[in-house]
Amino acid sequence: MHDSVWPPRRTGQPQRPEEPVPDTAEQLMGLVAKGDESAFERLYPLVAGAVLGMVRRVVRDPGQSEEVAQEVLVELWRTAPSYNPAKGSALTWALTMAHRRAVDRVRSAQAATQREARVGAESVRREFDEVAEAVATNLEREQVRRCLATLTELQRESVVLAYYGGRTYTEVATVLRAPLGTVKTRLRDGLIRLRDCLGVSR
Amino acid sequence: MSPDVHTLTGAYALDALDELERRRFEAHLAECPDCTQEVDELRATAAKLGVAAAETPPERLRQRVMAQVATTRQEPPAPDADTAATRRRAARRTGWAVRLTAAAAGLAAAAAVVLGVVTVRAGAERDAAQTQLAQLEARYAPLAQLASAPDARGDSGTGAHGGTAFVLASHSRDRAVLLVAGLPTPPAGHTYQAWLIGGGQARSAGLVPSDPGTGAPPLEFTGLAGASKVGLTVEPAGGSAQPTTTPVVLFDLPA
Repeated sequence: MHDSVWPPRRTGQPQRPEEPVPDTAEQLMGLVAKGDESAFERLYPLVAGAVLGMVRRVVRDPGQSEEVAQEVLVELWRTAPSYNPAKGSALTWALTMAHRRAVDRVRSAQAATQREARVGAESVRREFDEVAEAVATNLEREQVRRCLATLTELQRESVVLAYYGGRTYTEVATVLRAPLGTVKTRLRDGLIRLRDCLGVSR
Repeated sequence: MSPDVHTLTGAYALDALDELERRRFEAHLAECPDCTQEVDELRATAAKLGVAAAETPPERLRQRVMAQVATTRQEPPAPDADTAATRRRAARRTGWAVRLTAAAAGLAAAAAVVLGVVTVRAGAERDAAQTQLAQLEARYAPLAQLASAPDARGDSGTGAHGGTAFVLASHSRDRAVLLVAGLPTPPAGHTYQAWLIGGGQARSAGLVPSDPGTGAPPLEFTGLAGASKVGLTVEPAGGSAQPTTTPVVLFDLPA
């Protein structure tokens, strides 16, 4: 074998015997899927903040939120071999898992305490105001805030209550005193408008 | 796809469906590539809402996660959910298609025997044989009729103590047929009773003919609306108004 001339080597760069370090979450997931713990350690900072922050919005109790976030992050490791990049980004995969777990946690707590009967309009305002305030601190948040503002009031309140409040659409309808069918539709067309505004593909 | 089902993509992507609706919608998703595409996009959108809530996690969380990861075995890759559901459904259909074909072959063989007998014997015996054949045909007629419905779907469950139950259902005709095979004989003075379960309630679908060998027709029932599962329990002869024992077979009513 002769020395390969392709790819051309850039001068002045140290030669590394191993492949370049992958740095997108999707590339890291590929390594994590093969059981690479150090890749998981590099993936962690790319997803942990969003996982914990979102779980805390839904669960609220800080201790429980950390528990749920820990479960989700370990689940991300455990199920990495099933991650399919064609279905969405690694962050979407992690947050989908996290939202599901967070919602499971609040709903089982709800079933135990029958707390849901006391959901009132006041808590809707509070949840929404807190979100509106929290999402104003950086560019990504600014974009989400701006796009949320393009929704109709009912679309925005429905989406916010369902996502950050962890409510079923039946609960959303009760809280907003809107017909079930309307809320179902608003959740979909609200998300679609948000998708188009944010330029989300998959 | 009904427009109503499609509307649920938003609620599903936001985890805003209750457990029952979620499972129903997932069954629908497995057969609707358009919905799957939309759900993937809406989930990616919902994830943006999650990212907007990001905060700095405490160092102890990282330490706990890494410690647990170090002692946690990874799961083998799951087959793609959509493919798996399709394959499972296909396997189920094939299984019962084979069994139904075998039943049909059995019917044909029985007919041949009957006809053979007919050629040898005559008179009253021939009439009896023809009655027998007509009975056999009558037994399977509801099944054949229902199978012609465009939305006829089958699903089956395995008994806790062996055997299987199979339901062929058509929601457009609001009709279903239940067949059982190999279930243990219920204790003396008892019978299997079928239930339609949904919305936290069980409605009797009727008593299950205990032994297909007796020539009893398969159980037919209607009133599928609102039911999501089919269950079989052992009940005192004559049946009960509500189930009194744990189901020995429980499976999804085909959607």
